[in-house]
Amino acid sequence: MVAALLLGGCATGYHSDKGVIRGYTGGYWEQPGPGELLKVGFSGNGYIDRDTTHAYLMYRCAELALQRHKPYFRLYESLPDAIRDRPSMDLTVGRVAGAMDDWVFVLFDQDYSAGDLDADGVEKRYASYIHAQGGQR
Amino acid sequence: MSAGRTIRRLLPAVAAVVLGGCAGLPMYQPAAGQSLATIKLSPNLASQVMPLSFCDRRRCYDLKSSHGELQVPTGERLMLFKVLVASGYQRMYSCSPDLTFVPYPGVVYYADFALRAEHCVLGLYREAPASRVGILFEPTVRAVPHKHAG
Repeated sequence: MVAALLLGGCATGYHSDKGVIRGYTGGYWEQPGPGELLKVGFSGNGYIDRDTTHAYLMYRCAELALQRHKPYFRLYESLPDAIRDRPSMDLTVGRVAGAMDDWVFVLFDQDYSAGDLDADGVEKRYASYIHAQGGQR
Repeated sequence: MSAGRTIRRLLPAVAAVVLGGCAGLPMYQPAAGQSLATIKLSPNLASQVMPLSFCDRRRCYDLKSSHGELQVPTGERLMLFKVLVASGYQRMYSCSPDLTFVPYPGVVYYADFALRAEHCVLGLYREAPASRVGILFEPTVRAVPHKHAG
C-alpha cells in the first residue's frame, strides 16, 4: 500500500508542463497550427497509466474548446487525417522511451457537424475521473 | 522519374551519410542566385536549431532553421530526413524518418515531425492558407523504400 501511494504520488497530475515544480513530471501542452488546428498533447512520466493519460488529454481538449466558447471540437490523430477530414472518436495512447505520451490535432467548431464531439459532455465525462485521480489544475 | 531511378540516384548521397556516421554534415549554404523553396516548420521542429537534413544527387547537408523556416534548392528531387534519439527509464529509442520530394520555386511547404507510441513520421505538405487545416498533400512526396533485416 505504501508502495502504491508512493508510486501514485509520482505519477504526472493534471497540470501544464510549463510549471517549474509540477511541470518537471510532464503535463499538458499546446502548439498552434497548421491553419486553425491546435496540437494538444499530454506528456506523462513512467508512473502514469494509459487510461489516465487518455482521460487527461480528452479533458484538456474539451476544456480548451469551452475556454474558446466553442461547443464542439473534432480530433485528428494525424495531419493526413485532418486533410482528409477523417476525425477520430478516440485516441491511441502509447509509451515513448518508457514515458506515457500522446497528442492530437484539434479543430474547434461553433456548429455541430458529423464527427464533432460535444465539449461539455466530454468535460463532464472525464471530470470525475480526473478528480478521482487527484488531478489538480 | 520512377521511384526506383530516383532512389538509385540518391543512393550515393545516402551512403555518404551512413559512412559519415557521427561526423556531422556540412551546413547547406545556397549559392548566389540559387532558386529556393521555403519549408515552414511545425512548432516541434521550429524549436530545434538544425531540425532537418537533406540529400541531393551528390551529397547531404544539415539545414539551419531561421525564424521557423528552412530554404532548400529547387529543380531536383531531394531526400529530406530527421534523426531522433530519445532516452528515459533505462530505455532508448531512435528513429530516422525520411521522404523524397521535388521542391518548386515559390511554393511554400510545411514540415511536421510526429512521434507516437515509438513510431515516428516525417510529413511534408503544401501550404494552403484558404483551407481550415492550412495544408494539402504535396503531390511530389514519395516514401523512401528501406530494406529491413529479417
